[in-house]
Amino acid sequence: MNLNFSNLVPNQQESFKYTPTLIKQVIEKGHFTPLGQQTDEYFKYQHFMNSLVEQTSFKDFYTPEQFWMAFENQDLPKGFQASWVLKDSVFCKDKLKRAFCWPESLKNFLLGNCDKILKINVQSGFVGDLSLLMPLIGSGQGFILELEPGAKLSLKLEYAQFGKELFGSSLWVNLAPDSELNFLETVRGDVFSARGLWVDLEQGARFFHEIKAQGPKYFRNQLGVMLLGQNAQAHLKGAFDQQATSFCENETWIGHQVPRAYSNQEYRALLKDEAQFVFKGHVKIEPDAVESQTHQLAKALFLSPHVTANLKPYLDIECDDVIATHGAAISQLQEQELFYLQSRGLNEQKAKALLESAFLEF
Amino acid sequence: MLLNVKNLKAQIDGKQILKGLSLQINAGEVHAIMGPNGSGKSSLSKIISGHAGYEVTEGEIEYEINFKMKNLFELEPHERAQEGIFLGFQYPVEVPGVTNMMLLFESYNAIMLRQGVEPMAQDEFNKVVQQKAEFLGIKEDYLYRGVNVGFSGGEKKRNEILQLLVLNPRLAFLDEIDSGLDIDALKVVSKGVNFFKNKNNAVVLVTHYQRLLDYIKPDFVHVLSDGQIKVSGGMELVHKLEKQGYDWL
Repeated sequence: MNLNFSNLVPNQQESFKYTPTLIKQVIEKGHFTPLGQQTDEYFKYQHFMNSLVEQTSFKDFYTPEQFWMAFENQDLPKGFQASWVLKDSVFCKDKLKRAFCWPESLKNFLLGNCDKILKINVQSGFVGDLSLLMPLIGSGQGFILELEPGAKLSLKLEYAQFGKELFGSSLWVNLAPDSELNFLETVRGDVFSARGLWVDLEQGARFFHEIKAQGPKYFRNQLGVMLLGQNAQAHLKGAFDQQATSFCENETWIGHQVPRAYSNQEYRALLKDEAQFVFKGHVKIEPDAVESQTHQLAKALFLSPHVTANLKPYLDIECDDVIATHGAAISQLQEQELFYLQSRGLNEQKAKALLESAFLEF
Repeated sequence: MLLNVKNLKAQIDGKQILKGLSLQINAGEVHAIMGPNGSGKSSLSKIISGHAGYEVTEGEIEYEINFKMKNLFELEPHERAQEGIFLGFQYPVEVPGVTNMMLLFESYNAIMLRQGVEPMAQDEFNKVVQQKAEFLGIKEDYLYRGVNVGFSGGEKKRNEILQLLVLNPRLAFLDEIDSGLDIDALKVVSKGVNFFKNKNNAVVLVTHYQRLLDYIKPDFVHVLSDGQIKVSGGMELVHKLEKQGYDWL
């Protein structure tokens, strides 16, 4: 499949704030036409977009392309701007150059095979939220998000799988001094995808990231965080609820480059049937990064004898004056907790369900 | 009669713990069970609430449900709770991620469902719980924390009493509810139990010390030793035990 979103045909008269109803209308009227014509792929896509409207938990949302169209139509809330960045631009090359300590595989992955990337800017002084829906329709999708100094954004992103192929997406985030991004990603059962997220944090910037996964077929969370400014903070959390043959991988890199930055990671997986879960956490504290603080913890709860968890927290510390912890834990449901809940009137099934959902609560 | 334990023999991991224990409890009564360490006090509480670790080899336990004595062993642990049996744990369990309010609400509704009573709406229920928490000096934010997580020993026991007051059982087995409590916490726990007890329910206090019984007056005192109730009586038995210990048994 090779859908090219740059050929989308927006209707200039329409408001492009995409509510589910509006998406339906747009599809029905044929304004939202990949490839600009009614091919088989178009009908499949039309069906897919309809199902998105049914499935998403969002009320108002944009896909990255719709975001661009809304920008073109001057229909975005105040404080957002959008533009395109070419992959071989100085901007992209410069970003990759700065990622000197990253493994080659991640760099290649982040480059993807798209030739231009949507860039979303959030202006200084902005405080608000944005919901984005990412239909996985091809490889190399993604966007760049830049928060200008002091901006504060709460971003929700949900993935939706179109077709059965493995698609990759990449997100680049830059957080200017004292900006704050609260980022919640939701991954559902049909998703079959690898996603790279690369975040640069400047002085005093704060990044709160959480992934909630509901048994995706396959999801690879490649997440790199560069703490480039003092007092920058990155808080990463993941809750994976996996059944059947669901396979989730988390590979994180956190670079402490300057003194007094903070990072914390906690990933949890609830594993049933034949589910598999991987956590590979890599924290690197550079020689100059004194008084850094970093914590990483991965936990898996086994609910079947056929599940697998591969937990590898890893610390690479090149200076003495740091606080660093790491841990990995695998457990089963505790008999005494179960009995306690049963002794309060909950049947075994209900007690187990409560303990399972509690495990994934942060 | 509310509970009738007849010649109960039980073992755990092949070790005989109860060796023919008999006990009758009626509504409106407060019983105290005392006895040396390892005599089987906690085991009795756990067997009555349905802990799976014990094997009952002989004897029976009958419990009154709808005016009929029923075989307790036919009920699962959660069904016993739904029928009004409450176990106050010696070591209340921490359940991270499940808030106190969530547990109370789920428990309460499970019990109401069994009793055929319309469940309460969450808002209304929260108010009821808050009132009872205030009565026990439990701060409101504790209700929204994980069950017993990060609670001190005294706070955990207070939380057990809060559950007792909210769930309002017919038979409360309180296993060493006084252990690890300072005098102020003991007073609060006793205040809760005294508030709870009435002519329609029964309280069984499993304890080592007279101290608790100074605040909650028992109608009957039993001394459990080597898996059997050796002596039963009133408060005079407690005073004797305080003076002479268990050697005379």
